[in-house]
Amino acid sequence: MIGAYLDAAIAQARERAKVLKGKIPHPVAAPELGGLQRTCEEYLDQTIQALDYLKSDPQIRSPQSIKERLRIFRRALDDLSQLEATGIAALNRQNVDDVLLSKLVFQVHKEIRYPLQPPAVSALSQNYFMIYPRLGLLVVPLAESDSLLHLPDLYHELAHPLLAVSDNPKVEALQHEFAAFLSAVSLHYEQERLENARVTGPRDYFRQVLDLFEFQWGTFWAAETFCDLFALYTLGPAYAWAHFHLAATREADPYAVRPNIIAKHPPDQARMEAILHGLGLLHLEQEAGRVLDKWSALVALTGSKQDPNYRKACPRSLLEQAAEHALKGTTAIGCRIADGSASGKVHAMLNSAWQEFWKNPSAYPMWEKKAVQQLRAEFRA
Amino acid sequence: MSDMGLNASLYQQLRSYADRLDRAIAVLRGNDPVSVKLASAEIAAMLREMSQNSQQNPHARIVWMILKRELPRTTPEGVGIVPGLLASLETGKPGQTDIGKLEQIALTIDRECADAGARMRGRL
Repeated sequence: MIGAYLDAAIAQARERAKVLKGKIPHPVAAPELGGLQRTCEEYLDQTIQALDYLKSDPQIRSPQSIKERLRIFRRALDDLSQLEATGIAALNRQNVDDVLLSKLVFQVHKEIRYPLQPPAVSALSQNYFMIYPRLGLLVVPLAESDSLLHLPDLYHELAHPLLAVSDNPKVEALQHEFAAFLSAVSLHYEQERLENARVTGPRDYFRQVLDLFEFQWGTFWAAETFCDLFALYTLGPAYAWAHFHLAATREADPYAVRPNIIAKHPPDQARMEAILHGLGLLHLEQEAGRVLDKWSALVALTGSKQDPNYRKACPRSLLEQAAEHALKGTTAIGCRIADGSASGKVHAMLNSAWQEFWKNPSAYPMWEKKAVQQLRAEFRA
Repeated sequence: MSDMGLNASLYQQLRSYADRLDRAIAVLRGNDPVSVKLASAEIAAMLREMSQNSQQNPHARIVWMILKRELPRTTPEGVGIVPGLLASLETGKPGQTDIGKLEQIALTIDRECADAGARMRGRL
């Protein structure tokens, strides 16, 4: 009964995939969007192949495999709806800001010797910066192309595909460092659990808390911390300031650790500690001192205090190991390290923006307006 | 990166494991001994990489951490089923019980993948 339903639904999904192919515009507005165009077409072809497999492969069509057939079908449908809402929508609604930001990211990829194809950018995000690694699509909020202080986050987003892609020798060295760090996380919490088993008190509760911390690191925090550090190592101090800015402008306790909820992001304090250690590894101690002063003042102002679970969740040794593994990995994949001697148009502009901001905050908006105009003129040319 | 973006990365990683596992399970149910042997070897390699604390493949480690936490919801022994399963797969002739265990693993990965997909779209 369900087999017959699936036959019809699969045929319908195949037609939908073909309709979506027709929605991909040709030509695209700028060469920088060509990669997204090709990826969307390839992705649709792969989805059509998966649907054909579900339609005609005798093993997946056997009644005993109906559950597997349904699961694969649902995921194929998910792919179609994701493509429709992201990559194809971005290509269909491309505008001048998308082209400008895509050119900017293309320039960044040249400056830092980014080892993968640079993503296209769309200013359609309703949720801050994010990237779809498989599509090579980075989305940012609408007004980001008119300001500079958050743009260092582009470097963070560029790091996610480096960790997410599979079987690519160009990024294996970084992924090995990432795996080694994950291994260090597991080892750390294994030791903590052994320790916990020896103490008196609510052992089961604390064991669950330790399990949760390990899980958060494994699924989200390690990647997020590595991406922060990749951004710091390839851009330099502007990324540390961008993290300061992000944390300062959102209402969140920098030490917040909840022992009963899976948090996707590590606490802001932990991210800053890793970044400060990273600045030290770049031998930018003076800059690290300036960031730390401002950060301490900000945290004091919010009245936040270190949560008793904070150090259990974010031990300093793990944060330092993250910084060390990330630097080794970033260097090993051949990316340019911003150790003070780095140059490049975007590199200089984003670091200068933060220097100008601190030198004369009240005059900064005018400075930024001019810098953005100049940037637009250059990329238009 | 936003929460949605983090889920997009996780979704991508889980998705490839979910598809490989489901396709292989369908083959294991068939009666072609050569295909069954190949599919057994593929899943065995995947499970071995996950469970042996791989220093090479971060994706395998992440999926293993998820299984450690989520598999006990459907299988009381949790990832404790993996060593026995590996031994059966390595014979190249897994039985119905083994396929049932693999189904539980596939189901767990599929659910996590679906949740990550829903969170990525802001639906959860």
